[in-house]
Amino acid sequence: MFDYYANPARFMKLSGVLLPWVSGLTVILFAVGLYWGLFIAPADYQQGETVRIMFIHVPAAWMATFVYGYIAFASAVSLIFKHPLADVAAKSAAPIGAAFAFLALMTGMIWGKPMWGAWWVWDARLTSVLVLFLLYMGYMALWQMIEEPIQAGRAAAILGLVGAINIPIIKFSVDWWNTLHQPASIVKGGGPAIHSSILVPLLIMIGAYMVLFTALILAAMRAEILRRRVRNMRLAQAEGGYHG
Amino acid sequence: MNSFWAILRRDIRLAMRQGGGGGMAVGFFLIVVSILPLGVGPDLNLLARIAPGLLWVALLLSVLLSLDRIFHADYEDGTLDLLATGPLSLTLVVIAKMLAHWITTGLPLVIAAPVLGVLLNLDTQAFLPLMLTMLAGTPALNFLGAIGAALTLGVRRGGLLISLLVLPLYVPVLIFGVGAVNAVLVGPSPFGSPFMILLAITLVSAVISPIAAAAAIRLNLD
Amino acid sequence: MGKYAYFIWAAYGVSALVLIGLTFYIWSDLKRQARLLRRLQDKGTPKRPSARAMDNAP
Repeated sequence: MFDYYANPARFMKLSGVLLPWVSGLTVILFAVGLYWGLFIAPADYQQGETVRIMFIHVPAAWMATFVYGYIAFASAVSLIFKHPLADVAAKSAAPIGAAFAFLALMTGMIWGKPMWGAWWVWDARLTSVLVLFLLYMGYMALWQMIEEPIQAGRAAAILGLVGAINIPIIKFSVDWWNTLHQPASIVKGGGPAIHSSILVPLLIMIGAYMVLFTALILAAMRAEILRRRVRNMRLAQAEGGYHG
Repeated sequence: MNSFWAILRRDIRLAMRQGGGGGMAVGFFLIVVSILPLGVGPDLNLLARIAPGLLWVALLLSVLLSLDRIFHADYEDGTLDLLATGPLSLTLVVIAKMLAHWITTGLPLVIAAPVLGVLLNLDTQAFLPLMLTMLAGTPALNFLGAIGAALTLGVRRGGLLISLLVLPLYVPVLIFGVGAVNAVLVGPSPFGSPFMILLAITLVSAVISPIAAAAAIRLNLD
Repeated sequence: MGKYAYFIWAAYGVSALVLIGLTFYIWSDLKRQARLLRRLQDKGTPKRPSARAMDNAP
């Protein structure tokens, strides 16, 4: 099955059919989630109205991690099966994951100001996301610096896997470092005793971000496949011009 | 195995003869450590408190600066092509070259560190832990850095790119290296636990890195 | 929303800005590549260079 759908032409056909439906679902989920989160969900008794920031902060942070996992998976497939579609998938996901990481940082900072009185307090989770964001930057830079797609794909796949192995170690080290320096860190939402009036809109928003990612990755992969076709045709054109 | 030692000896001899490698890295280490007090002020108490962190960050930067020397010259003059098709597996070649690079740059940096510690008013009881953690941590910096160096072989002006790729991977080494030194100075955790984790990180990177770097070199050769 | 309204709207605003911007960027990239491809196809360019770059073709 895997090999069947890994054919780029078939992917183009399938993604063309899926894309409008996924886009529609994204709009619906966002409408429901935003309305619920902004107007129905009650204010938290501890954090007050600022708890509403959680509905966009947690999904963004969650997606930033998820997308790196997706890149690592695609990297492994690329290295083992040498399939160009896996490279396309990994390359297209990187800017989207970086955008999610950026949003997790921005919303975390905006949340931190009323909570802690400072825009940035080197909280363990925010610091981990910051390092993750830097990993995305390096990964994207490597793609950009190597011009030949096959070679760039293999280099990026190696980096993607090395990064994926390192992420748990980085997370562990940052947590350790944080408990060392500020033992009393404020626990954000996401603890075990989260109330259902907040959990439901949060889950809807996470779903909305997931579906949005699906729509964006389908579109970005289509664009990347077309870009490679254009590149090949231009090479052919240059060759033809050279001989003729 | 003979060719392994041959590569190791050759790389060390070349690095010695060119003079650049270790000496440059130590010089850079010295410069960074000397300008830091100019930035944060000459308060000796403050310097003593942040000395482990400053020394470790300066060490990271110095290692980073020397990374493109591991493979680049051999890549340009075609030696890597020969080594890749030679009898020794490329993974072992990579290990030999990383080891040689550590002996010629990592080790001098570790030896220089206590001298620079004096400049930052580092407490004398921290000298030995500092050298121990750096001895344990610099191989990891070299191993992880070699992956970045190998990935960027085909890139023109890859130096900046190496930093971007490698520095995030250095975060755990930095945290546990500084953590172990600070454990001796201020506590609360004992020196042993962060030091053991640091050793574990070095071992993990010693396993991953030769495989990843060899794969990266191979893709740059075809 | 109380005294924190600015913070809440700022967080939602920046999220909307980035996500809509990203969507627009990817969408326009897709349209651009499709347009370029069509233009090349209309000229009757072969799909790929003769032999060397065969393995590039997804």
